[in-house]
Amino acid sequence: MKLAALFLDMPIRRKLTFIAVLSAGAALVVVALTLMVSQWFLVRAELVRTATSQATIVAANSASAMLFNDTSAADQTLAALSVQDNIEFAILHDKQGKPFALFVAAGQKPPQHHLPPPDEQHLFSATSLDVFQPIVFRGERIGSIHMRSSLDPVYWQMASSAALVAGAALAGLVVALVLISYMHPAITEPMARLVGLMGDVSRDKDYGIRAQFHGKDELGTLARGLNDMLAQIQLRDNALAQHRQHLEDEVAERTTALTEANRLLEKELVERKRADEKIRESEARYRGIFEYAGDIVYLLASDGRFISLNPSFERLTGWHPDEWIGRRFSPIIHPDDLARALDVFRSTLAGQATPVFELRIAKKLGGYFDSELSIAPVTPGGDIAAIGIARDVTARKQAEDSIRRQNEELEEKVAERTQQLVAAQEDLIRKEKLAVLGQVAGSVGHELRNPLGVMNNAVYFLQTVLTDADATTKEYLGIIKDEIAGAERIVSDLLDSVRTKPPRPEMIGASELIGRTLHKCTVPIGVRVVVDVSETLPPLWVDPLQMHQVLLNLIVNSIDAMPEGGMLEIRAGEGARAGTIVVSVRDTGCGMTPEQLGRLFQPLFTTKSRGIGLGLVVVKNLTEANGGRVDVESAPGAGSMFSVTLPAADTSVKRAS
Amino acid sequence: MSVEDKQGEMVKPVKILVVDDDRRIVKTTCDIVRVKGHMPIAAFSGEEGVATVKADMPDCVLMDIRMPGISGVEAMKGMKAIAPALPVILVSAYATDDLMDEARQAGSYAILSKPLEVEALLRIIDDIGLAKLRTLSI
Repeated sequence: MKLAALFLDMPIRRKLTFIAVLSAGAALVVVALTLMVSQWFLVRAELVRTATSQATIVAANSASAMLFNDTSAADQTLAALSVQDNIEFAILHDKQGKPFALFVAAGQKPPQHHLPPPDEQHLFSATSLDVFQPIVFRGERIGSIHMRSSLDPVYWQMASSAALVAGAALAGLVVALVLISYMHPAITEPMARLVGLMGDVSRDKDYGIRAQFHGKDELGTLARGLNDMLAQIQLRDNALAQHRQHLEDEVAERTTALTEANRLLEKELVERKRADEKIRESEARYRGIFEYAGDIVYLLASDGRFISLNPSFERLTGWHPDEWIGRRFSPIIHPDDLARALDVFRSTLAGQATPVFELRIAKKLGGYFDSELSIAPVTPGGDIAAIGIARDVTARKQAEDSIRRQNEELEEKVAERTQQLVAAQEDLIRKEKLAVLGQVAGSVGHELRNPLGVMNNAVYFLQTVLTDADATTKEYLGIIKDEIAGAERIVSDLLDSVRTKPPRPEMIGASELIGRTLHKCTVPIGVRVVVDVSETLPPLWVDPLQMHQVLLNLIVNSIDAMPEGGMLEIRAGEGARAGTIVVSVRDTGCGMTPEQLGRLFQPLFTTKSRGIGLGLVVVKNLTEANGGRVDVESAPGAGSMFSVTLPAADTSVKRAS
Repeated sequence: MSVEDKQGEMVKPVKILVVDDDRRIVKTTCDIVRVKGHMPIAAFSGEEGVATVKADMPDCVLMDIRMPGISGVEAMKGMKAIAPALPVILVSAYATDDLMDEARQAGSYAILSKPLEVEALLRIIDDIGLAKLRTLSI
């Protein structure tokens, strides 16, 4: 890394030199090594060839000496080897491997004895080459030769070769350096020129300078690019300079205008201040009225929002004015008064003046207070559409109400008293009539009942005897019988109206009572009867006979009210008060006028062409004697309904007793 | 409808004394009773009624309460003095409560109102006849 950094920081000239030396040196080293290695192998091969041929020659020369065991001849042959300076020693071994003859070069030690290998071969050590060669005579091996040659000559030759190659390489490097130093300016000089140019431009800011360039290599392109860039910068620099000049002109112009405007403004401010002071004085006056007025003073926008409210608003409503300013006035007005308030507001917006009017205004803690309101339109132009005053008139209103209430109470009392008087009068009349009736009833009743009894007996007799009479006769007998029954009812009513027997109450079911009564009546064909009795109804606690008479009278009245036919509804259900049962009889007949209703229970009052007006007197007397009450609902043409409220049997108590 | 018609029951004709000051009532009542198979006897005052009971004992008496002379209640007391078990049916056209109470206390068999409900009367007479029949058969 350090070396790489060092290389990067080097000037380009040094880099070029470094690259050249390194590449040339590397090439030379490779060539030298190749030469040396090939030389080494060549020299060695030469040595082996030479040594082997010498040994072969010696072996051939020594064969006869060996055959004849002539040691001296063998020694002479070996001694011939002394010519060769590199032979260290040579030994001949006989067939058994015993040394036969020996030659040792001057200054060399004799070799240690060892058995020669049977085959031809050579062995290298660091310093020498041993050659073993068999000695053969006519195809028979008779001995062997072992010869050692020194490797010194080989080393000498290698060393001299190496020195030669190194010298040549050194010379090559020197040549390369010389060449480099002559050629590098072709690259480094144009670069140095560009660097210098850039230095000049950035120092002087003179974008007019241009680079000189030759050739179309990368450096030429770089110089051209630099020139283009400089041209553009110069262009922009000129535009900027121009613009700056323009801006300066404009600023000058604007400054003049502002100064003038400022002068005018100052003048206006002075005027405004004077006017403001006047307005403030005026406002202070009106503000005082607004703040200290005892009534609510309000300003409204055209959409009905409060623009302003004075402190009286809080005193009267409990709300701080800020809670309502910006809100529409509708929610603060009593809902019943709102429609009128909106009407007034609309006509005010239309420019009409409105007289003072009253309305109720809500309070924060609930409720409303009565107020008297005035409202006036404000000349259009500003936000304020209307201005008005609301005055609390609760006290006055209360006084008015109190008077009105007293009046009403008084009227009510008068009406009540009148009604009481009328009722008392009616009661008096009723009692008077009843008293008179009482006097006549006894004798009249008795006197009428006897002839009725006779007639009844006679009819019964005839009906018994004339069993095979014609239909008309039987019908007429029936008519007489019914009329007698009618007359008898009048007599009974007359007697009962003046004297009510004490009732003997019993438990009796409403439906049983109604059924028994209906059974007694002759219902005309045109009248439809509807009976509706609640199944869960407790029994009545009344005198059955008396109630029977009550119902009978009511039903007969209803039937009489419907000469053209209609519907007769008899219902029984639980009364509004606990422990009561209401039995009602309703017809769809002619109905009664209020005037008739008022006199309904008066003795001797009747709407029928026939009848003496006692039926309802009896109904009332008997019902009241049984602890009940009679109510009537009727209108002309709408039929009538008589409701009899009676006590229900208290089943739990009765069962216990 | 005769007595024999009554489901074959042999109700002996009941002898019934009818007492009323109104002769037409007495007549019509007697006629009806007779037609129904009983034996009516007529009397037109309380005194006559008591005398009739003494002379010709009836099975029962039907008598008006209000009559000139002695009232029906007094007449009944007279009859009861003669025949305590005699059933006396009183009839009232318009009786005061006192009179009705007195009648009830004096032991009247039944009190009917005028005008008579004939069917009711006949039922009572039949009951009396059956009771008499039972007494005899015992």
